[in-house]
Amino acid sequence: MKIGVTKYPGTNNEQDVLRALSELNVKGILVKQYENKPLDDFDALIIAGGFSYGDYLRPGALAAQSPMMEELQHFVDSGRFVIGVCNGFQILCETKILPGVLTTNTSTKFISKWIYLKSENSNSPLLRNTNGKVLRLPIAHFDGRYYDKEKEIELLKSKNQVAFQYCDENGDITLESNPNGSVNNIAGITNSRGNVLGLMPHPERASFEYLGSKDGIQIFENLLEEIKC
Amino acid sequence: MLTTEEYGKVMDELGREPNKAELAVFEAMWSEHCSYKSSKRWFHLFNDTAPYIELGMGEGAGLINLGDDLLVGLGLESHNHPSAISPYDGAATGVGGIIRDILSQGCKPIAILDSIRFGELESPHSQHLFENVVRGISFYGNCCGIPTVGGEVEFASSFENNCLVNAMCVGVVQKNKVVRSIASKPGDFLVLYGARTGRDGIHGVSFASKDLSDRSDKDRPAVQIGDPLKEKILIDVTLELVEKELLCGLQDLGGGGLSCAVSEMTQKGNTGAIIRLEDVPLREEDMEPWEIFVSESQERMLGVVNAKNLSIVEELLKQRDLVYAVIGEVTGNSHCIAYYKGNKVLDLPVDLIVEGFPEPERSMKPPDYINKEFREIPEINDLRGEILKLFSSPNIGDKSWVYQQYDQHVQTQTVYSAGNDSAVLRLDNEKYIAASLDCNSFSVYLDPYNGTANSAAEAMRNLVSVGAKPIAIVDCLNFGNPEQPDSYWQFVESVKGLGIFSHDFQIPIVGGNVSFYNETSIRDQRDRINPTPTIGMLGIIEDPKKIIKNSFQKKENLIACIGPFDDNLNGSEFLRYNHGILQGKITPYDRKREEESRKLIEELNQEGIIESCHDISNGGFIVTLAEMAFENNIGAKLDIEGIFKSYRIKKEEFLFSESPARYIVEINSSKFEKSNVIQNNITSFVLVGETTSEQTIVIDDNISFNIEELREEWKKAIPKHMED
Repeated sequence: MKIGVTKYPGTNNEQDVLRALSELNVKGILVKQYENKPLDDFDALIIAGGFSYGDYLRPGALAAQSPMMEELQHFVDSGRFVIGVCNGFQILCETKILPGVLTTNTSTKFISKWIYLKSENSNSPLLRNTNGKVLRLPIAHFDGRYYDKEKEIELLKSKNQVAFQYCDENGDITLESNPNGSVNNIAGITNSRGNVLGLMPHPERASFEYLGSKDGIQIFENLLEEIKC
Repeated sequence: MLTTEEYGKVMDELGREPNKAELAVFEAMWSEHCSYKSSKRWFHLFNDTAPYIELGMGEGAGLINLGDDLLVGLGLESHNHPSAISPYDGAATGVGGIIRDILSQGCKPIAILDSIRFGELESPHSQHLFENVVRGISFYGNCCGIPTVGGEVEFASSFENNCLVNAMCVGVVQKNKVVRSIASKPGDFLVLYGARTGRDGIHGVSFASKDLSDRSDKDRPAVQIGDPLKEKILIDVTLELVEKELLCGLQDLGGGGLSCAVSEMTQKGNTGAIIRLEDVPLREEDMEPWEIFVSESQERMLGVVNAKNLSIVEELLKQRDLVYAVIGEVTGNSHCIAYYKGNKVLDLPVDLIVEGFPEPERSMKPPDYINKEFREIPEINDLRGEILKLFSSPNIGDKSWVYQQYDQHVQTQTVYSAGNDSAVLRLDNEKYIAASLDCNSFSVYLDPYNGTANSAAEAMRNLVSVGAKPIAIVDCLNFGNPEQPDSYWQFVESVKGLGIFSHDFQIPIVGGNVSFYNETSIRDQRDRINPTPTIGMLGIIEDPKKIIKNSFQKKENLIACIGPFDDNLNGSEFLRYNHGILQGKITPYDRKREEESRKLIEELNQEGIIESCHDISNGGFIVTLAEMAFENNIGAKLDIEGIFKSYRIKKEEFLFSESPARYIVEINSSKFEKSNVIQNNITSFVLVGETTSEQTIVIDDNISFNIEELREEWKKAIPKHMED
């Protein structure tokens, strides 16, 4: 099983993702931008968070132009799994592999805190066993406000592509529980085929009891399960 | 500017006039900031040794051995002057600087803590500085992938013109991978890598070594500009060079730029260096040789590389797209010699640069306000209103407006982040460490000796109340102009206080920084900061099961107060914020009481009967109690009438006094009777009430609060000034 974890200049969550994978006894492989490893060698790819290229221009914009990303569309079309966390989600939106944009938080401030999430109705195998549950994960971003036109959001909903919504402790999706102004409290989405997941909260930072939550590790477990199949 | 005495010393030693480049070197290296010429003479008062200290003061990081040869590196630095002029860039580069400091010893940076101080938040100028300093720290630290896990914020009018920005960095390194900031072998190459050199930060250290004035705005070019992406790449590459053991020496380029890194590394190694300034990669082509040598451009490191490794190092730097150049060699002749396009532009003995400065005379005189008795506590008619008002003080209020802008969780090691008494981190080898950063500038102002010792004790209490054992200190001593006798007196008294504490509790000081001249003269009005010796403290947690919570855990538990009561309100936030009074004598530092309280908490924790603990500091008992109630909405019902009689104190003194050596603990009620520790210490252990399922804090029959009512004041104390 070969799971690649991307590292661009400025990526800073790659070690955290590797640590979460090793908790599941899987050794992830770093895919460094300067090494030009062919993506084709991998069974799945995790685009780790951080500040690729310093978020210069727009978060994810420069990474989306990198040679590695030219292969990514092909990788996705082959049906293999891709998870983009935080800056990884931003990169997936910049490449148009996922719809919509991630723009500056309504507070115009970086926000780092624990939040609650709920997954409902998604058809992606990456979200198995999370349906209806309230998960506790941290967020850490300046540009995490998901936006798309109303028509597109309706389309996402109708195709069960809304992976996660911000909610309160009880699972109620409220205005107060929306940390960044995302439309419909959207925290994560999948592509229509369900093999690409992008989310702003950090599952790798909620994969260990000592950090206060293990709620995030389910997503990585689901990924491993799918690859084994 | 060199003083007449200093210029004379240069002439005597060289036997000639220094040239322009040489003068620039002396100006940087003999500045207060680089030379510690007013402060160093007092450092012998510090305890600086312990068997587990691998490296003490003098380089970028102090190194502490946690066992298993895993070392923790600590550094603490100020970036006050730049932040006062250009808050965003000043604060960002302050963070960048302290990261590179600990990187210089090969440490992987794992956490940042910040101590920041501004004028009262009603002032638009302070709001502007506060907003942008926090933004600068957030921008830089977050982008580098280092969690900011703690620190402190204080607002007081004395910081209106001189804000303080102190940043502490914690790192880890394996003992066999440690790199020193020493160039000891002639023939080794000097490799400058990272960012290009530009004109930013020229004379930054001289700017930091004088008072700010209404003309300081013109010093804006002395403020460096940060590029955190470059820093992140620099960190990654440096850690790779360290891991592969390719460096014989390493120092970051901070104050004084190349001139400082080259002279300090060669002086420590009893060597010299030849530098070719035309090989330094520049951002602006027309820079003069002396500018290249003293520029403080950010994100640069100077590595000492043996000939056998040079090509591997060059290959690695090339692959990562990091600008670098081999700018010279280590020599055996104890001189720092620089050439520019074949012409010798400076030739100076390294000993003279680093240690040759004449020690200036400094005189001391206590300020007039010191030691004045003050007992006229204002009459209190509305105690309930006084309590509500106190919770609305930005010094007391919730600081999440600040720390939620910092990534607290990257690196997946953060067990306790900001908002707790100390940060707690779990390291890769499954050891747990705790860190706190603290100072109470009001008590230091009233009594620099006792106030400093008490501030250090408070940093210790912060560690004790999460279950950690304090093992090392770093300090950042922020003071006014040392040429003013009353200001210098504050400094010396403060150093004495920190010194005695470090000996009393056997906690060595492993590093630090002195920032003088936090003083402004505008139209002949002198405006000086409250003296602020910021204390960073590291603790170790032997057993993760013994980490103590800081908020109430269960209803119907017992609440007890540990430590001595007294009636002293001087220096308290209650007198200062509610009544505008900052005068009188504070409760002195008391080693015995401090020790007894600490020991009791440690024993109770060992016995396993502490449910939660929180040290009593800013705001006194009532604020501490409410903070414990907020997190889990567990209320408290007090029974304190007896205490007032037994200890002959008034209710307001009990509620608001910030006297040292005290904690509130929540004790499991079912285990209380059986506790040997409590039975043996029954006199130091004063029951004050119990936790309740009702979401109220009941002080007595007349005064009670809904938790929500207090929380609302507390929550909006800072945002109400920062958001329209």
